[in-house]
Amino acid sequence: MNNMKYSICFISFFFLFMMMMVNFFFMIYFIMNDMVILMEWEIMSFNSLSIVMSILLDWMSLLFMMFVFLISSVVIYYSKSYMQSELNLSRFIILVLLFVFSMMLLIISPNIISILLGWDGLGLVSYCLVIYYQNLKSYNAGMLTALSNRVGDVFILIVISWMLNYGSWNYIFYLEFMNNDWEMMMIGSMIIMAAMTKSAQIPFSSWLPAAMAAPTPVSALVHSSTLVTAGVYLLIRFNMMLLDMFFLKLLLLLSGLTMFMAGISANYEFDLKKIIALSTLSQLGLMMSILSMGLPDLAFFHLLTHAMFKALLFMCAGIIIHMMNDIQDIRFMGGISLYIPLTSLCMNISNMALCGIPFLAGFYSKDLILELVSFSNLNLMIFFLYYLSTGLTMFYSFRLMMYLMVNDFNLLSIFNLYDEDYIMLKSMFVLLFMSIISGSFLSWMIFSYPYMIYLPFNLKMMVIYVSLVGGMLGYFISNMKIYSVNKFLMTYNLSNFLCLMWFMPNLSTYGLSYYFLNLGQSLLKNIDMGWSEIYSGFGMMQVMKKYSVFYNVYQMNNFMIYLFSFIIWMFILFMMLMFNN
Amino acid sequence: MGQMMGSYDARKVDLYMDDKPTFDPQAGFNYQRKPREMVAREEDLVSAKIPVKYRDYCAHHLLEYQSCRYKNMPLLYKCAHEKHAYLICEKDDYVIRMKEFERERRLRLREKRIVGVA
Repeated sequence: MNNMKYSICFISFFFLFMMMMVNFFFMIYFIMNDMVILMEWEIMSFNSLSIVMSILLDWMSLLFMMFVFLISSVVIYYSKSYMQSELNLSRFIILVLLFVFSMMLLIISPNIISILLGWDGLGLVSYCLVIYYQNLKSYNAGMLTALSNRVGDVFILIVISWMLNYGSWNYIFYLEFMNNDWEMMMIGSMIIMAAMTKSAQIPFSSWLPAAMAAPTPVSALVHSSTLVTAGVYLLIRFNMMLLDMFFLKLLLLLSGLTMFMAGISANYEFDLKKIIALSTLSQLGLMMSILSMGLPDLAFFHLLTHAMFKALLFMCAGIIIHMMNDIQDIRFMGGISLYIPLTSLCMNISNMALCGIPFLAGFYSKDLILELVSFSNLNLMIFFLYYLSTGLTMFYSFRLMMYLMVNDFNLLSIFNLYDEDYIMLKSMFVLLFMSIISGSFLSWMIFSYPYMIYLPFNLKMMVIYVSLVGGMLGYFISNMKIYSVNKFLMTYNLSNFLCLMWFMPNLSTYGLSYYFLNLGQSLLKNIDMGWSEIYSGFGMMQVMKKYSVFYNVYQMNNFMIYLFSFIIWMFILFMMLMFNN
Repeated sequence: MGQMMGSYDARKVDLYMDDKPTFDPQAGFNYQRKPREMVAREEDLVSAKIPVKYRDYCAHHLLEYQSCRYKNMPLLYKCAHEKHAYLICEKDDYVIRMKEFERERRLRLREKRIVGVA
């Protein structure tokens, strides 16, 4: 730790932290004066062709940048200790910085081309980070992540080609004036599809839990708070255009199902990081669904508060995994609050913020979202999806908390039970502070026009009811020894369906590889090794062979045939001479 | 959902949430009803850049809240009073609209009943 002062981690941390401070002051100034700055920087002008880099700075982009800078700075600080045995630490830090750069490009772009650059950069860098440990599992996870995101990249590329019709790629100019245009409807649909891949909505969900093969600081930065919210952010920017579209109603259903599905799957999961990843998926579903109800500012609010406590949750998980000798299975953990009290403190607070316990960060955003859902004109199914998912959040959070903190000491071996790594703890305390105050701070800051909510008492208390039921179920399920319960196997098919994310991985990994490989095998047998072989290589050889054997008979017996034909000729000659007389 | 529950019964008389009142505003009242007054001035709202959808009967409270925000940024908790006043006004406005909706529903039911008898 002696070389902390001049290490690449410290320099990067310092730079990012300073950028965060600068962004903070600018953000305050922009909100105060209701300012927006659109800069166009001409890179090249050649005859009538001009290549222009546009930058959009408003309170939203500045606030998001501030949060990305804050989380990335503390994650890099944390990595100094977490990745200390890594030989190529500089490579790791440079990858993280590249990720931050791509994210910035995405945030400040009012132009679809530069969005694509940021978007593609995110996909590429996240692939490099997922395969960082270079084993079979991470290669597979990386490929799944990269290819799922690639689908979104292709949609953005199609959007670029559609937007050629307008003569400019600055989408921001067309959002309000072209929203009845059929072409804009197509563009909007594709933007939604692209956002669904990046934010891992159904049916593109399976890559997010798989991406947990990445190092934990990467999960804290990339797969919880920034990369996955890129899709949400893109839709927030495009929201003005999408409001009247049918696809947005479909998105409401799909995102509602995503949060419900992820909530259930998290209850079946035993991998610590995957539980947190599924909870991220659930929260992303919440953001997407509130967005598709036409409330982008609420989605943005939840995006920011969620980024804080989820990054903290991952960092705590990282410490626990280190401490447990790289074991991630929560069945081996238990009673850790006695050994690592400070980390447990952070873990509990971030978990409670996730559940929406008053007055932590998640409370302000989730409660507001749920109250506005209750207040708005929606059907019963969406209403139930929201409230069941809220209960499920409490359910898996309590289950996780019980498994980690309260249940019996169940360690595989006593290994390094320590809580003294102050580099990691210091960075976590920054996020801990933010997880507590950011909800209140942001709710004052970003809602210039506050929402009025007026509900009947029981509807108002519905969040508390479902949370209490969820918490109780979480407590019971953590104490249940499922393997000792008779007839558990009777629910095997249902459990299989629920714990495998509604067979979503089968659609994207197993489905894509198994069925296509099977098809390939049958094509190989029937076409390559079958008909085409018969009519080309093998068949021709057979025919040639047959005829060459036939001709061979003449060839091998040519002297005999010659003599025989000579005799016949002589016989014919003789007969002719004889009969001529 | 809350609005849905409140307005579900109104569908029997073909009344939906966005419908405007169709009866005489004075019908059934033995005193003179006063229409709501717009307190905030248009030029103030324009100069404060208040979006059109927020220029309602509580906009004067909103203007106060906005000016307080400007003065106290970033310590916005100091504007709790102004925010509360605005939200109370919005809530009263909402209650008025809901009462008007219920009045419309009952008047339609009454009309249906009278027509049915005749």
